[in-house]
Amino acid sequence: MESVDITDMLRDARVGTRAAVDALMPVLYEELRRLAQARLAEAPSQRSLNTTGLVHELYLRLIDQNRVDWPDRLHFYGYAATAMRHILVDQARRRSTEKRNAAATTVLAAEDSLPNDDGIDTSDWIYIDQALERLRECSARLAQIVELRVFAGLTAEEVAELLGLSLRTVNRDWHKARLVLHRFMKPE
Amino acid sequence: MDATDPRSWNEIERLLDAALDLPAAEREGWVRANASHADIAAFVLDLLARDQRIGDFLEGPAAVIDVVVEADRDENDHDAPLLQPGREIGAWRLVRELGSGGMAVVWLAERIDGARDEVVALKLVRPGLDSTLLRERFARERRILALLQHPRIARLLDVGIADGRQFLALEFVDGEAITEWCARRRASTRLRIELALQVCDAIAFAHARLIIHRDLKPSNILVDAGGDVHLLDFGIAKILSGDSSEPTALTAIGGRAMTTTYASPEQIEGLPLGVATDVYSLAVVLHELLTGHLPYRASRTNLAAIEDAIVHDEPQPASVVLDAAHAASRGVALRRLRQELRGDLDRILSKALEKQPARRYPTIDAFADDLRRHLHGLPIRAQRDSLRYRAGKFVQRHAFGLAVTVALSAAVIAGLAGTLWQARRAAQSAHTARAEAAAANAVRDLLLDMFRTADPDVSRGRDPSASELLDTAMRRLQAGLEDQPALKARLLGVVADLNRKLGNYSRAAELFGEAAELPAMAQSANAEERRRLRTDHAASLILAGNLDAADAALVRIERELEAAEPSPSLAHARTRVKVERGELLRRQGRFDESRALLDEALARYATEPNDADDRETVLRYSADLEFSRGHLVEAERGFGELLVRLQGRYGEEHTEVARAYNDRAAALAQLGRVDEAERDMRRALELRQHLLGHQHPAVADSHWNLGAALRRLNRLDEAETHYRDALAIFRDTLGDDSVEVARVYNGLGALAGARRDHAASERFLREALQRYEKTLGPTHPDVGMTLNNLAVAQRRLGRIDESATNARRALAIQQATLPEGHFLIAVTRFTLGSLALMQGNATEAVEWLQPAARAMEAAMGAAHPDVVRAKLQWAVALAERGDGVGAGEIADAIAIPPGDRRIEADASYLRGRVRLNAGRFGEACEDLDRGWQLRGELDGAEDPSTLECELYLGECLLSNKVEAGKLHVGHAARALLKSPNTAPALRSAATSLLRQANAR
Repeated sequence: MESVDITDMLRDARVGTRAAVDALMPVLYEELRRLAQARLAEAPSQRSLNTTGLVHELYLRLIDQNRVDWPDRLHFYGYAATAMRHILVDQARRRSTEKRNAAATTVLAAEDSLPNDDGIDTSDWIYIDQALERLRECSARLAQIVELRVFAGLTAEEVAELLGLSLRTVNRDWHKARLVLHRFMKPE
Repeated sequence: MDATDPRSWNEIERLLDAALDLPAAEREGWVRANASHADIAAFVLDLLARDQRIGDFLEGPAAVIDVVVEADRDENDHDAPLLQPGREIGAWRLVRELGSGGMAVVWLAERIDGARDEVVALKLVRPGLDSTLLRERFARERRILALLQHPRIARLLDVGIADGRQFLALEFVDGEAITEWCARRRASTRLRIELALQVCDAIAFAHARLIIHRDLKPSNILVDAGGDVHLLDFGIAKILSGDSSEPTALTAIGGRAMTTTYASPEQIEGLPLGVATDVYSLAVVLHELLTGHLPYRASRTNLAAIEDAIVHDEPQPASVVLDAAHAASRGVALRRLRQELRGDLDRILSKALEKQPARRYPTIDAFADDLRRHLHGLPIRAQRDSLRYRAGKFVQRHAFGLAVTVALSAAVIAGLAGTLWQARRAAQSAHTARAEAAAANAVRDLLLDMFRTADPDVSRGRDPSASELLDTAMRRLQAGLEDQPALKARLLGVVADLNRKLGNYSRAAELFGEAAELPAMAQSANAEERRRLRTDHAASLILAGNLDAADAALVRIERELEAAEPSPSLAHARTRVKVERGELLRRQGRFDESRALLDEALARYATEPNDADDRETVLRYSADLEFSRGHLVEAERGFGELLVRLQGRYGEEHTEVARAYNDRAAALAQLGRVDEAERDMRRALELRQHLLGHQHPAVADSHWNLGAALRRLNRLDEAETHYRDALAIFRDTLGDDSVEVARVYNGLGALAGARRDHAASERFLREALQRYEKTLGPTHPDVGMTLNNLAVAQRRLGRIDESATNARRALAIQQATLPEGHFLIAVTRFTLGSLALMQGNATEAVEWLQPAARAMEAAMGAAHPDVVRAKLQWAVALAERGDGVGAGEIADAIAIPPGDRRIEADASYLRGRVRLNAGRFGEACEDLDRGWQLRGELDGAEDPSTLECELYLGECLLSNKVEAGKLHVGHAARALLKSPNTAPALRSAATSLLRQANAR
């Protein structure tokens, strides 16, 4: 979809032209990857990147600030979060393939895992992805909140503003979502 | 129990919400008591139990990314040893590396079985960079190339996957970059242009298949030993980034070129691209071929400077850029080369290098055409007046957008790719229903994107048979998709909307109606969508002029809305319906009611959510309303406000913007600000021709308006051209019986009147009247207006009784249908007053003329020529009635607008009459003399109005003791008395003045 301005694509997406929506995904995916590569290349000692920062930076780079209405921002973040999620899952898949193939495993630093809970290996994005898909079937709203918080790294306040919900609702939803995801990932 | 079942989930969530608010000890009891089923209770309790255990689950900072780069780095390094000569990929054997970029590498390869002596350029994606995304892009490139079978375009010969890597086998072209080839052979200017024409051929072929190259540059244009051109890398450069041989500061997003040097301004700025983008880049290449230099002064290696120059600097003319070094390399004298380039070629290149895509050649063919003309010594089409536009009038704060989507291949395929990607993910989750839905999405996306090419704001006038395209799509739609009603409804809505934009209002209404009444739309889930479609249906009926049906449709929606369940979208839907009802009321002539509704809507939009479309609609309707009411100043302001808003939203190149220019111009014209009106009119016409092609009713509408403006400016021949263009187009597109054709005849009638050919004027007006009566009914205000015009023509022909009958009929209609004080009523009164005067009935004349003049002044302002006429005519009537003082006051207070000889003539004559009556002979003679001279110039000495003036001039001179007056009286009176058409009052005046003169 390279022949179309991103802002227009967002606008189209909002109006519901699915073509624009679907076409936006590969674009965002690619852009996020490149951004990540570029940022890491600048600071090779840095082993990890804050995806929140990436998404925000991507937003500023791609969107013409003067032409975006607030509903579009929401959609941008929504899509970017989804793109980020796909990136992580794709990488996880590839990594797991390598682990099986390669003799020497790439050493993963401790910070590869998220602050943990109860034994769920949250570095395995594939499982999180699947659980999230199931959550989406239950409630699209809850799944969206999770995506925005986890993959776009938005705060509860930002999510509330973006979705037009009260902060209380967002916090409650986030709480519920985590409970459900936990169960989907580790039913017992 | 399946938690994903909506019924289960709703209860689960409800219970969870409530339970979380309870103290922990009470939760279990409460849930068990309130759950409908033990399974559900168990689920909820399980969730609640985890509450203590989840801790920071998912709460931490977002994930790491370094894995991405690690993988890439490793795999990149592994790449090198894997590709070497002799390695077999698919049906091919690698021979040697030809080049590489960031994401792909190109090898020369030969057929393994050696059956044919074939070599290809084999393009492989680097492993590690091989992602889902790139696979899709490769697939897209393949599809694009498959569509392009042309001798000048490097063909795609094979495609496949080997060792998990995709490859493309392309025709290998043994040639040099066009710049090299020309330099080596010291090609003449003519030869260079001929090569460029070959390139044009290839590009035009691709454009016809809706593919733009986007990355034209010398290294993509190879010339073989035989002198044949081959084009490489169609649409590829945007897939594979990082061609290491050229500077690549730009990203692949937004269609920006890989190579800055040859990029167009819109590519630099990330704006939508179109066929004019290729025109631009090719022009840069041609410029370089002809001069050895780029059109800009920046150094080739300073990317930021180049980008800046492309966007902001005026390109240098080719003949100026030429230098001695290049001439030497060509082996030609510098002076001769300059001569070859100066003039035509300079102009052709300038036009193709315009910053704004709309200013360039609209197609490659047009560009090639001018080049050929130059080669054959014919005059070229590129005009110098592009300078006029550069002068700052339409200069860019926001650059002009361009046709998006030469879309069929790129966008559709990208969309398809994206959707299939989603579909694959869905399939991976083993939810087949989702996969099916995703496939359905793919179908829909395909069609939606096809429709985008039909949208005039998207296709920019390149496809005049957009309607045909839509019809084909419609048939396909209606034949299938029975099992996907929601999809069908959505698509019908899109097609309907496009029809609306193309001006096919009845069709749009039909389709909106069909979509709304699909059985699936009756489901409550679709209630909001159905409302919207029904409202669109009603709106289209209004546009089509089918007011009764529109009324019925609106009533139905209004009833439904009253009964509907409250919901967030309900208020919005109600307001929208109000807005359409307001427009309907306007068309029915119920202006006050309309105003009330629109004001209500405007107030709501200040606080309710709404989108830009809604606001623009109500602004437009509001301005239209003011225009209909005759509040021209408000109307002009309203259209101006709308225009600014639309420009901000869409840029300049949009049908809505053209319409706003058009509407504002109409208001300006009525206000007498004709120069401004002409400017707006021309702009609207230009935009419409560009966006809609030359055979569209909106274009005809602009021709008509421009004709009207030019008529008022007295540029009658120009006006006629535009009227006739309008007539032809309206006839072809809307039929001979249409209201629009009637309107043009009305205009032609006015034009003939301005030419003083009153007989022709009458003929045209009768034509107009006939059609108006047929289509609008005998009591429509426009019928009234035409009757008045007819009355004026007949008055000028001296047919006073017929004139009066028609004028009275006109007045009756207008008083019944227009608000009191509307300037059209005033104009009719003016006619009746003039008639009364012609019959010698001064008292009656004053009764007509006084309110007429006042109302016209209130509506159009004192400076308007018709207002000046009206007031002076009134003054004459007063004078004839005996109120010389009053008449004199009015006449003295008039300022005759300069620059318009017609009004000056009329005003001088009328004022002279008043002063003559008042005994102010000196001033009167001056006025009457001036009037007589001007009328003589304009209409000739024997024209009745000139004679009339001469008659009174004669009398004035005699009263001023100037003997020559006798001659004037004699000449004028005799001629007037001889003519059977002379009005009674004038006849008797002539008779008595002649007698008096002879008696002196």
